[in-house]
Amino acid sequence: MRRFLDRLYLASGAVGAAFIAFICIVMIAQSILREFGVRTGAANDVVAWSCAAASFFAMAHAFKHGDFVRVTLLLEKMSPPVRRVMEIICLAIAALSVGYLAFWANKFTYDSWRFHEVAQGLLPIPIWIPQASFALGSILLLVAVVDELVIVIRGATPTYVAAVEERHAKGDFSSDV
Amino acid sequence: QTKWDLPAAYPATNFHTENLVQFASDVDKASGGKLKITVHANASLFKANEIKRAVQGGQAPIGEVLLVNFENENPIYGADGIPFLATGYGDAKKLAAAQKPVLDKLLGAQGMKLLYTVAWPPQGIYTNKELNNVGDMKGLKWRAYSPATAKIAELVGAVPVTIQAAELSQALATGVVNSYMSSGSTGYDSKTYESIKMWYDTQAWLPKNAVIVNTAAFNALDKPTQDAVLKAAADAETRGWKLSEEKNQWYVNALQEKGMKIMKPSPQLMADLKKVGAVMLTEWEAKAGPDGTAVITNFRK
Amino acid sequence: MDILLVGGLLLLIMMVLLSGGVWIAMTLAICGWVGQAFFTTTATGNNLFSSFWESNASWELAALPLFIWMGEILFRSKLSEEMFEGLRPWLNKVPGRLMHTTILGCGIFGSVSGSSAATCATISKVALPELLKRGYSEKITLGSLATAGTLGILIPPSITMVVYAVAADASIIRIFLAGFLPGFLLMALFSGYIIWWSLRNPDQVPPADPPTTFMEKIRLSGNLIPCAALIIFIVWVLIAGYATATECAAYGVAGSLGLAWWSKSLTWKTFCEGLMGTTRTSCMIMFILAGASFLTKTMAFTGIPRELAQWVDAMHLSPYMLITVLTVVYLILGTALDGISMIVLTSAVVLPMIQKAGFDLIWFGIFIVLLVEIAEVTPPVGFNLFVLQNMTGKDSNTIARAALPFFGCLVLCIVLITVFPQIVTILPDVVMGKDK
Ligand code: NA
Ligand code: NA
Repeated sequence: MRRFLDRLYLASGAVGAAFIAFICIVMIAQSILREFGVRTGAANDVVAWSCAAASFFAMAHAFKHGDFVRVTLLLEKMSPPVRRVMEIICLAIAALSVGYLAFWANKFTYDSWRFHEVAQGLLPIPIWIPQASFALGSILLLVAVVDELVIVIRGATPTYVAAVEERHAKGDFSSDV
Repeated sequence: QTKWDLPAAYPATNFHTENLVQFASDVDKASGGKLKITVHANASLFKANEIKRAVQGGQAPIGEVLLVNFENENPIYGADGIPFLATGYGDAKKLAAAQKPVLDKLLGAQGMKLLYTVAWPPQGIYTNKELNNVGDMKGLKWRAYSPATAKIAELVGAVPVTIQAAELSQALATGVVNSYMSSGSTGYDSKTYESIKMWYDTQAWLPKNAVIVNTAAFNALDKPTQDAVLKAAADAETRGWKLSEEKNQWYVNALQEKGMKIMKPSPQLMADLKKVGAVMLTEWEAKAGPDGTAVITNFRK
Repeated sequence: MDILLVGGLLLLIMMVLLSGGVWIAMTLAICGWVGQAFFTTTATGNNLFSSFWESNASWELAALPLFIWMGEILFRSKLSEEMFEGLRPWLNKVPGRLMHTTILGCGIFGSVSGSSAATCATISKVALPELLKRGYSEKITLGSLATAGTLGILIPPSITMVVYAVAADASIIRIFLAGFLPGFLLMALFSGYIIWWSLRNPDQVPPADPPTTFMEKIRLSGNLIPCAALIIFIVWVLIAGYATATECAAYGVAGSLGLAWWSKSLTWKTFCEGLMGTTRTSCMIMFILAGASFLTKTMAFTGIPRELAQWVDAMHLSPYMLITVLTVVYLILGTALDGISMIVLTSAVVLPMIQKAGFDLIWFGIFIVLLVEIAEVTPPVGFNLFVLQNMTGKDSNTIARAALPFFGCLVLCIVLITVFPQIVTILPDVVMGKDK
């Protein structure tokens, strides 16, 4: 189970990464092709949807990896038992709010499908197809948050804390803006 | 007291928005302060493409949309975007009247109600190349921002380039695009005159903004307030169309002052363009079905 | 309930959640939810979807991951080593000598990278050991590296500017253009301080490297070619009309990949690491933007910013006074928050006020970027401090103290652009015409 989940998060991150590479390729292809008079009208819509997909798919991975920013000033001053309780409260709040997010992401996308909503602009595909990246990505994030909540309740250090400590110990600040 | 938020996509200084603000204040007065409408201009509440769905889903009780934006969903929304079907304000008004019953039906089925429509100024062609006939448009780098403008490019042999409104000035300056079709107001607002010297006043079509209201929200008002809204909407429509014509003239003059040559298209160019329009009309009718045919028949009556 | 009271309640909830360690994006969204669910009649759940979807499915925002990726690739390349070699021979005669490599290096690297921490880390990696080995003052070196690293977000491209432009709905290119002159001004101030300090403390500046011949200088300058080539390539693609400004970011990635490949620092492993890092960073930023966008909707529906702007208006603060108050607020926020969060947290409320007071949104963008730069070097939370703490093992408070004189330069720069706003607005106005 642990291995499956970790692979799931990594895979979802990789899907997000693939979308970023895809954005880069589409943009360059678009600018070259238009020099040759090829019609590339839909490219802008595809880029916008890829941008969303890149972000939504990567949420679970980025959360686990400790990239989601938070203020840890107070947490770091607490004694380990108090800190653990606070982490549990934070994760419970996160699980609730991400659960709400996932519910509405899926409901809205489902409504788009039910109402046969079509994308405006130059690529008239059903809009639920790009929106599905949000629906799926938010469920993945919910899984990651609940998973983390279980880990901390069982008494272990949160994965996102360990990941950041390990990274900074190696001198890697590349993920801080 | 009821409060309505009205999302709109255009800047506060645009005449459509100014008209909306007047509409809101009319409603406030006529309802005796029972209905307060706050206008959120410049897509600050919802982006242009999201406003219709927001009104439909009860996120906003009322909103202003550009009808042609929704032609992918149903071709009826795009009736006023068919080039050279209705040129000039007189025709545009006739088309609006012909389109209204079908729009009412369509929006009604989605839980919305049409309050009023106001046309944008007519669309012309911005270019640096002299155009005597459609053949001269071959190879132009043509900004395509909607299915219709992309289709025109295809039919006249221009290269359609998609550029977002935010990047238009810069794309014109560096030559990523060298022509596009829009109203005098767009050309003025995006400072097109800095890189393009001619505007062919083709009066190709007059797209309309529509103010739509969520039926449930409307029905929740008491009868006098509903009447106040309808009365203010009727006034806003009359005022808006007049404003649009005045603004059109103002923008054309302003463009000329900035050094833009306002060109009257040659008969040959117009004849060629009308052929393009005819092709697109046939395609549109095939897609739009009996409702579409009804709109055209009513318009031509 | 009074609208401003609602605002106060939301602020309180936000502070409790933030200090308790709840993730920033979630905190923003939760505050947005409370405001909408209890104080408006709109469809809250649907709005949550719309905010997330609108803010992330955005073609303008697509430049963000690309700029981040560009920096990630260059961070893993040999660009900084080459730059140090190329700059070294020219600075022998200037008072302060090689200490200026920190400023120039950060300035040049900042013009290809969009991040402050990455700029600081990249230049420090090379300059720090070289300077300490030669006996330059550790204090000045650390201080200038920590602060000059922040040039990464002032000199375009800049991730912070992209985020601000999205939040303020302003033109990204205008803000990029506006960053150049303040960037150069800041570099001049930094270098000016180094010169002044070296003239006063000649004994603490080590002797010059052995003089190099002119031909040798030219040969060493060849090391600057890759970086210059990359910048020229991007500008050429833009000016020649091959690409729009957003597409330029994609060419920047392509160019950086080419550069890394040419200098043999591109492997499949570094490629994947860079791309995954990019994905996480941009996801983090876009997640915050989405949460902020939901809160912004709440602000629009409740009308809090409007009330607040009127309230501030009623106090008849002079524009300078308003800017002073905001500076203090941002300095305080900046001690504990990162720049991106600072911008998105405040934009919904502060931007209407700023516009009402008659300030230009582009100018305010540069003003905020400068304050974010300060935030990067103020303890307890400042990423550039962390970067250097990590590289040197020095305590971050020591580094912050070393950065203090340069911090003064930043404040001076803010004063200068406030008194002479033309420093910011002239370049975008000349290139793109005056904004209406
Ligand atoms: Na930069
Ligand atoms: Na700080």
